[in-house]
Amino acid sequence: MNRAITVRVNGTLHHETVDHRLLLSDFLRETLGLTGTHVGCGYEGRCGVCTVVYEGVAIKSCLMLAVQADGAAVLSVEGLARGEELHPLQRAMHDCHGLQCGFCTPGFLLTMYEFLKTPVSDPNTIRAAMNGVLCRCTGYVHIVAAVEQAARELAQMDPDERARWFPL
Amino acid sequence: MYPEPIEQYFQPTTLAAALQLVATHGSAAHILAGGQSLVPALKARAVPARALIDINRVTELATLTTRAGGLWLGALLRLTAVARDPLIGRTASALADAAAALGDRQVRNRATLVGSIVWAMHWGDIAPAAAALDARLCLAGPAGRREVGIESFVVGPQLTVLGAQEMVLALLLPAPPPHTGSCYLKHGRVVQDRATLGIAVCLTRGPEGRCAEVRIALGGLAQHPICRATQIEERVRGQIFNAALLEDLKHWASTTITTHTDELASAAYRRQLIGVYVPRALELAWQRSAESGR
Amino acid sequence: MSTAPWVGQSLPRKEDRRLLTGEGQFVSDIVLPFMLEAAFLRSPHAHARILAIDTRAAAALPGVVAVRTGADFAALGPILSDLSVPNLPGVTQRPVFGPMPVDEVLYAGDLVAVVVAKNRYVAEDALQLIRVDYEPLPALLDPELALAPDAPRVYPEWRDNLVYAQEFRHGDAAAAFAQADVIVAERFRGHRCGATPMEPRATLASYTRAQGLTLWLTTQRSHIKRHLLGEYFKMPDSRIRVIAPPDVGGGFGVKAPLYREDLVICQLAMTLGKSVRWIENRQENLANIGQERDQIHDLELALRRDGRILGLRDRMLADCGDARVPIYVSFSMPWLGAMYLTNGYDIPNLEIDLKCVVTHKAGLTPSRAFGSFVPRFAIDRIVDIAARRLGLDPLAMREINLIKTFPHDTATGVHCDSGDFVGALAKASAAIGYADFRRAQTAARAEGRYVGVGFSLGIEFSGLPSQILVPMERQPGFGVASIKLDADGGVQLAHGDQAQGQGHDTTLSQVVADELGVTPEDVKVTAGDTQSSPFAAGTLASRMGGYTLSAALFAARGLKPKLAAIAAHLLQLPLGEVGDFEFAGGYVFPLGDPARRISLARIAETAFLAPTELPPGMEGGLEFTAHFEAATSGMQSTNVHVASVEVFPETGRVKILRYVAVDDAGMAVNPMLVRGQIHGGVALGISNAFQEEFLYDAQGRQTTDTLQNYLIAAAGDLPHIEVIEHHVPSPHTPLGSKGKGEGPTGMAPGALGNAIEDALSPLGVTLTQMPFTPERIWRLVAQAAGRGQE
Repeated sequence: MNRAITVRVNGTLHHETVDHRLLLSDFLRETLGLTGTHVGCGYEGRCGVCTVVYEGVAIKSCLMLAVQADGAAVLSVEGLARGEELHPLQRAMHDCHGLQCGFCTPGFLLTMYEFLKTPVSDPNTIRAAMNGVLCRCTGYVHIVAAVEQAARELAQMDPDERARWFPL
Repeated sequence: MYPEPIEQYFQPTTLAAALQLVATHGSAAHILAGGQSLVPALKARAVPARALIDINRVTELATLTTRAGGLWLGALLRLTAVARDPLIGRTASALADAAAALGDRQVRNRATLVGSIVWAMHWGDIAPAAAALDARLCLAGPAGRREVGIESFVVGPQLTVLGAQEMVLALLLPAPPPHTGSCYLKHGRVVQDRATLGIAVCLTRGPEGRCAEVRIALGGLAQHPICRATQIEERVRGQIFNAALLEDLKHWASTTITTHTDELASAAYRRQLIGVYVPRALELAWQRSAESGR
Repeated sequence: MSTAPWVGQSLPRKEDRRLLTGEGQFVSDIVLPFMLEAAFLRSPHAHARILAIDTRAAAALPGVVAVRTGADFAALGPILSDLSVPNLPGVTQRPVFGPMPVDEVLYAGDLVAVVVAKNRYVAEDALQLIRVDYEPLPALLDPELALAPDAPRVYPEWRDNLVYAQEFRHGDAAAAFAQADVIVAERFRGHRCGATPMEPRATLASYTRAQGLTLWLTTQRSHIKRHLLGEYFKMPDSRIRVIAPPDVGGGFGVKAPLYREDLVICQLAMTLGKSVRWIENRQENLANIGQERDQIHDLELALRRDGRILGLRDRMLADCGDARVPIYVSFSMPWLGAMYLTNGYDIPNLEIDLKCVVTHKAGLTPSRAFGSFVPRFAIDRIVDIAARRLGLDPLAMREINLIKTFPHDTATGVHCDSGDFVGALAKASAAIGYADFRRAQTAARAEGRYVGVGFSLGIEFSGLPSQILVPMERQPGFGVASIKLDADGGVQLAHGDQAQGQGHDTTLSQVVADELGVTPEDVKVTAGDTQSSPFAAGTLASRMGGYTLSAALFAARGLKPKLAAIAAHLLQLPLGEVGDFEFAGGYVFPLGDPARRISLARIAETAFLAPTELPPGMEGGLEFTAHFEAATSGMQSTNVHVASVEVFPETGRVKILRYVAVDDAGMAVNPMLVRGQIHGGVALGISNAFQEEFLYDAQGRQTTDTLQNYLIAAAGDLPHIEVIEHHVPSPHTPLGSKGKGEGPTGMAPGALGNAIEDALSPLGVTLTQMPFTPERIWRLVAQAAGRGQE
């Protein structure tokens, strides 16, 4: 009940043989050792801390089987920074104190990465976009501020520079 | 929170291959599309693991085209796309509303239009909206293709007429008559929640400010995923659409619908919500019918 | 060369980078060679006898290494440590229990068996193959029924179902009530909810004969756990190492108790000779931990006509579940809640009759606000209700009754060292624009709209002193920090109170950096590992800002005389006092003479590598440990919250228009981090008050098993939260700083409950129960309307 798959994660191609029932979240964490993607709930897939970007859109990696990702591209939290340079959203989260324990943070980073491709600067719209990731520490106030800061910064970049920050 | 062993996993890339697999395995396999309902059920071990036929690579199923003035919405269309599509937004707003109201951003990026209908949970958002729009489903199986009206397709909570060897290919929407507007309103306990009550309305303006045609479908009620509010429709059809009509409905509408008590709400509260949301939904559909202009 | 002080700056955190780039280290991220995975079988019944368990099929499944049941752990005996039960002044009956039940389960979710396998997938396959023969028994689920004299006993060997009972008496409540012009009496019910962090529990145990037991644990208190484990397993503490890794995903009290699962995992590692890991999933988490609040208050105020509260009586009933929660036994929280009942109000005469009962539910675990969530709701609400009865403005009612002078001792014996409610209330009132709001309210009512405003007052403990912690939990209240320099002049700070997101590293670094003249980046902070951190009670009760921080400051200061003496010697200057030297920019130099400077690196190198160059008679090494116990029986911060709402009676929906927290942190070392604590605390309070509830059906089965029915608030559910500073330094800490974190949560239900009732006052609604769901609000309105028609 195994299958050989090839998945591009953060730009690197991985060839692995996985059990059919292995969840994508566990593929990232256990098979590839990319433990930045976290698992915070159970079968329900509600908490969103496992969110990654799959073929350009934010999805909950605990609600996908690894075998489904054969031939696909995934962006996880480890792939946001460019070397030592943090993604504008990572930097904004840092500047605005948008994280405390950090357990939900990868989920927010990847969900709002997608949001920032076509941002809307209204705080209610930002909050609505965040509804799929739960945080217990911050009360969301500083995360909203961080998204606003990142949106402003990205809007001021020239298109090529901006495109570099959205590899998937 | 992990699935039982999954014996077989298929990833067809053509519709023909997918249909062949579905025909071969029948009820011994699950069709895996968006997975936002199936994967949790597998993880909870609420459904046996069986074989999985992953149809996400069958790009033929993701098309959105016009057909006889109406719309062919491929079964694999993601809710995000349905919520944003300008054509759907203009001609079938109830469906756009329902797609936008389901789950959260990440769920909508994977969940398919048709998945919610096939699961037929009584609190589902898509089926009532589709019913208000008089949608049909195109099914395919060993015997060929057939079209079924949505209210004939969904026959009860978690019960559809989909054969074990059949797949849904598309949701079909008829061309809306001129001066038609629709909407779907959802009441949940919190921002991301099942529908305690969902109301879908599609109406067509007639001359003299009258409501020429109206379809009202409620969701969130235990007895059926789609509850057509036929008595309310009769009360509204042909009438002059004004504040007095809506005020009257506020007090009377809930007496025509059976509601239930569950962990989301009591029957009495659901009746209250019916009285609040039916007029609101009608009002919004009426406004949109003016904007539609056609 | 002097720079602006680090203390007081809103410095972005040192902790962030690793968490933002996916390089955090949480327990579930740790991989040990040949590690095995455990999964627990749990009872579906609220109360049942276990007649038989057949594990043969499970044990035979390929990939399964072991299956164990309660019988396999029985020989270890019950948890009897004095550390595992509070020693409070009332009457205690103590549940006696071991790591896993043998023949009786006491709540749905209770432990029945454990499987150890090569991975969790296989372990869950094995769980399905375990056959358990249960005999379901009647379940006691109602705390009021639990009090009845003929009630079935959860613990048959007990006299009754009271795990704890205490009467609090002060002054002459009887006289106060006899003299009262008006008596207001209401029953307040707080529902079962709690702090549920985003990271569930995780335990990784490893045992070798050479090293002993090493345990990676999502714990708030490594040393206490280590000591308890040593007592339980009859091992010296030196053979046990408990490590809370650098990253723990939220604690909020929930990760403070010792848990039975921890004992099971340790025993498995020791007997199987392999590392064993258990990662809790959300279903287990919701069924077992994070359940708190759950109190009924029959509360009465004796009032003088002018609004002065003369006395208070409270019959307080807490539903503690099975209470098998080591250290807290589920009643520490209600006890502390009773102690803080009068909160920000000066009420000299009182009688509180506290009863904590056991039922067939999960035991209560500490949760941010720690027992005071419901009492604060009750007292803030009854003050508003009293104001309404007396025809007084609720703001004026508070001005009459708040604690006006500090220090102040409450009638329950809580010492409030410093604070200013008068100023904070004035700020809150100004922030919400109280007079304007009332005018707007009148206009809105004329339009048929229902808007309202509500206040809450709160004293928040800034840590708890030993004189409270020792009886309550047999733990020390002191803060402790050890500073060491490295041979290259780097600074290491080890302290006893590990973080779960509160930013202790950054905050403490700022303090130490100012003292030693370095940058926060130069300070390496460690905590959580019993091998390398000094013994302390751990992170709880908002300790850090008062206790730990002060210990770090004194540890740094304690090192300075030696550093100065070495500097003086190397500079060939006469040795003066420490005050004669400045520490700045990584250098030490005589006051006002920065040209004659010597680096910390040079001083360290001398002390470690060239001790012959030290002043004659001076020992090598550069370290200092300080313990800080404030010279007071209590430090508090004083806070006022105010909220405005619009209520939509036809659906019962409440929209929070504004939420303002006027907050006292004594002295904010990092104001941005303090704001983060308030935001998070308030958000939890709002989420608890409006939408979370742990539900049990009539048979005691838990129906809230996912985050889709235990409704933690998402961003769209919560308002923006405004914070206004109103700091009142504590006279007992060197910087005046106070702890922050537990307090904000308990203030939300009072402020919001008051605002909702204020909005609906034309309709005659009284709001005494939580959660404030739309249906509950709608029903109250409908019932009030029904009464109006009679």
